[in-house]
Amino acid sequence: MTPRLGKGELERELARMVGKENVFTEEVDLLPYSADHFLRGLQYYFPHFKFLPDAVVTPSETSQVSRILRFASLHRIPIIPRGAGTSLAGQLIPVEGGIVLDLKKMNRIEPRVEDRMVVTGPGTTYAELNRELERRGYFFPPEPGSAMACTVGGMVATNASGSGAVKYGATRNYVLSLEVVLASGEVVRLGRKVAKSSSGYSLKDLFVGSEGTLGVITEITLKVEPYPPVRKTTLALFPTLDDAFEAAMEILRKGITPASIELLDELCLLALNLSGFSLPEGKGALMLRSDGRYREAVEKEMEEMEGICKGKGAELLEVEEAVGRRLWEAREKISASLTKLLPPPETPRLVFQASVDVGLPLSRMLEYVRKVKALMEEKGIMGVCFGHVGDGNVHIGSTFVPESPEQVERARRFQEEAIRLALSMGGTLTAEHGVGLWKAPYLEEEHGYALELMRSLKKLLDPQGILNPGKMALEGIPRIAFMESWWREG
Amino acid sequence: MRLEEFSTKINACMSSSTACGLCRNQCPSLEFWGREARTPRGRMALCAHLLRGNLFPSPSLMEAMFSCILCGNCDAVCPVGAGPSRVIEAARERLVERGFLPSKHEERGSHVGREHNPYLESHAKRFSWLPGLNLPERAPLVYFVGCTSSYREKELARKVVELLGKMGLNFTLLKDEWCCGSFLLRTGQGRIDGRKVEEMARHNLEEVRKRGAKEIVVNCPGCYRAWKSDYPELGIQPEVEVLHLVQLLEREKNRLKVREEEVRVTYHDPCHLGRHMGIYEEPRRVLSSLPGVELVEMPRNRENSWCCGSGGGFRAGYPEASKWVARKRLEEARETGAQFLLTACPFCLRQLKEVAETLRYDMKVMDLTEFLLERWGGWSSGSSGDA
Repeated sequence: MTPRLGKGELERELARMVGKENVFTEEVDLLPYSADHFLRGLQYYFPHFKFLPDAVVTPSETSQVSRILRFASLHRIPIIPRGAGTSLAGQLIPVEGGIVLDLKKMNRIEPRVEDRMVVTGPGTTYAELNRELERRGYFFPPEPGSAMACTVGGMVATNASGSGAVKYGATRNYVLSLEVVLASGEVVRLGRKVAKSSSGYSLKDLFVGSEGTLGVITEITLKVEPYPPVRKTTLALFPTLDDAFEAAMEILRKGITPASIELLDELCLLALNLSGFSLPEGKGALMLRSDGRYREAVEKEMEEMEGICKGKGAELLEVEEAVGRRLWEAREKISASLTKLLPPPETPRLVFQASVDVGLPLSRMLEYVRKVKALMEEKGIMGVCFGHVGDGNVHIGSTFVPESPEQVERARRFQEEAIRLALSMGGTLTAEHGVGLWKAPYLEEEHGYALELMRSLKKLLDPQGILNPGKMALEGIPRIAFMESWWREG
Repeated sequence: MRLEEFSTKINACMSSSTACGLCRNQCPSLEFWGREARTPRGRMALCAHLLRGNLFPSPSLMEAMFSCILCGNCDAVCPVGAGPSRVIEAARERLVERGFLPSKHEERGSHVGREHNPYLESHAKRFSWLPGLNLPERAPLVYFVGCTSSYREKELARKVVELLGKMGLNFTLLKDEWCCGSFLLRTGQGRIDGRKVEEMARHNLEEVRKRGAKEIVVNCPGCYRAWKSDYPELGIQPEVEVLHLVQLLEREKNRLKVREEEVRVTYHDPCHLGRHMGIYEEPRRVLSSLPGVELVEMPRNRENSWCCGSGGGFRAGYPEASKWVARKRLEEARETGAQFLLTACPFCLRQLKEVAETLRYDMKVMDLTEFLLERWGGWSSGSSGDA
């Protein structure tokens, strides 16, 4: 994507637009932006994955973003918009250098609860937003695993969600309106700040999940929900994973929509115990959460779910609210705890875990989980299988130590097979993490000709291809095929 | 500890399953500067690259590492216990070894070597705030005053002495007290010849022995961490019980004779006392035992507390950022409706008091010691009859 400006000239030009205190070009400032959650560890181990941007800019206003994009278009400089860097599929890696826009300073929050909405900047974290909303009796529900760190902008850009999606839906369901800066620098408003609209194409939806490839989101208007004052959690431990799954299916078949219904395998339970719990051993478990405005209704719903679980041989652990909160937090940290389960000598070493997050039709989920477990055993993979069983979202975390080419290759093949298996069963390759670089090689298998349509739209909106290049296979399969080459080149 | 000794912790942080960013939430330096190199996660990445030889010491790396307050919020939230603030301290040491040390810290560090304090003051004037007080040669308890109270919060030092006296405790001071070494350790200078903290620890310990003391009480959380945690890590066991004043006050609650007065107070947890050393409840129990005192918590308290902005050399190195951090804390305190913002640290006291004055807040900022003395002369909180 050359020609580029020299470092000094780039720095000067950017400083004119945002002030020199918001422009960074030293290696120390660039290096932490060369990776996201997905690549950070790998890059540490394999120095050739050091994709430094040319500059980092921290704008605080839409007009600054607009000026930067106009400038970047003119000089064909890649632009990588960035929130908290918690993306799990390599969405933020500046593979062709360019300017990283760290949107942290665009974090204004304007609660408008009388309109049941909130207007916010992309740099606001999910946690900050909900702190403000909860004070007013409302909340923004999608609650991804990275809730304490991720930004709302990142959530919109990846259509993120989490354990609450079964009842409350994903980020997309809450986006009412977006302000977006296009590659040309043009500022457009997509959608109106109203609860519903039938006016024209829903272009805002095109930008939800676009991973920064179509424009830079600078303002977000979200629908908000009344905060449910009553929450109840039960952990149901089953003799087998199949029993847990069947109980979950029966709950859903009965027409119950719990706030969360999480499937955990044996290793997940061990991981929870490593987070300070003393749960009895079990082969499979369901974490159930019911919430609402009325205690009686919440208790009734939970009772009904518990009855179904008992019928499948479950041992029930009702959890007090404070413990329940800790349990849900520990559930979000299962991946982190997993590394502690590895036997020495792996424990103190650098351990990677690629997180598969496929989505399946509910009716095929158990079959998928069984096949994946068999695949893990066949390939000698140490990993966990858990998921948001209410919406067919299966997470598979598989560990490997990068010093062992054999382990790396085994993990790579396993992940690829797990993704392809989901696609062959009518699933999607990503239910909530997004595509980024990592899953780009499989996107065509899922979308077929529709990927060509996506590419046409990309060309229309970003003719120079400056917006987050290399992601989502929009320019073809990425030049850097991580899964193919990460250790061979090391 | 050297950076290499943290490689397991760095690995745990850098592993792709855990490089989560939870430590970004509530990091004061991120909130002020708004960029990744000023976050614990960003700094851990830089430490990792430094350790592997992918990155070399430079002035900008020095800025990244020394712009951390070492408040330890990241340590409290890290799901794998990587302890970024300790790693950052080790990285500072590595940088200092290679000649990268902010000039302000360099000047103060070399002064510690000569005059045993980092405030560019004369050692001979260390206890100049204590004229005419006749303390015993030997006593079971030694009050280790520390540099900040000795040179910058002299009134507080005086009041600690007054309080210990009013409580009827048999105590004394060291004849020749030196800096505890906390400043050097926090700024990566603890191993430089002439500033070695081991030598300072041994000197102070010998002075304690001369006094025949069984216990040391400190009112500075920095000194407390040095005595209680850093010295043993350096292989020096203090042999005597080390207490922070809040622990002593709690233990000796029966000796506190304070008037009943209806007041609403809030308590600010000093980072070095709370997150670094795990002392949260003792000051709260003391306050709750006082007649008429209503303790209200700020939304962020205990391990979740927001820093005052003065630790880890931050106040000296980044005055503007330091004041901004303090302002945020003061705003939180004011929202509680408390008349008093209390703390148990001379650094926090100085910082919060100064910034509150510039903001013209009517809320009083006080150390717990001052608060107790101001109400002295009534009921003993532990007794049931007349004092």
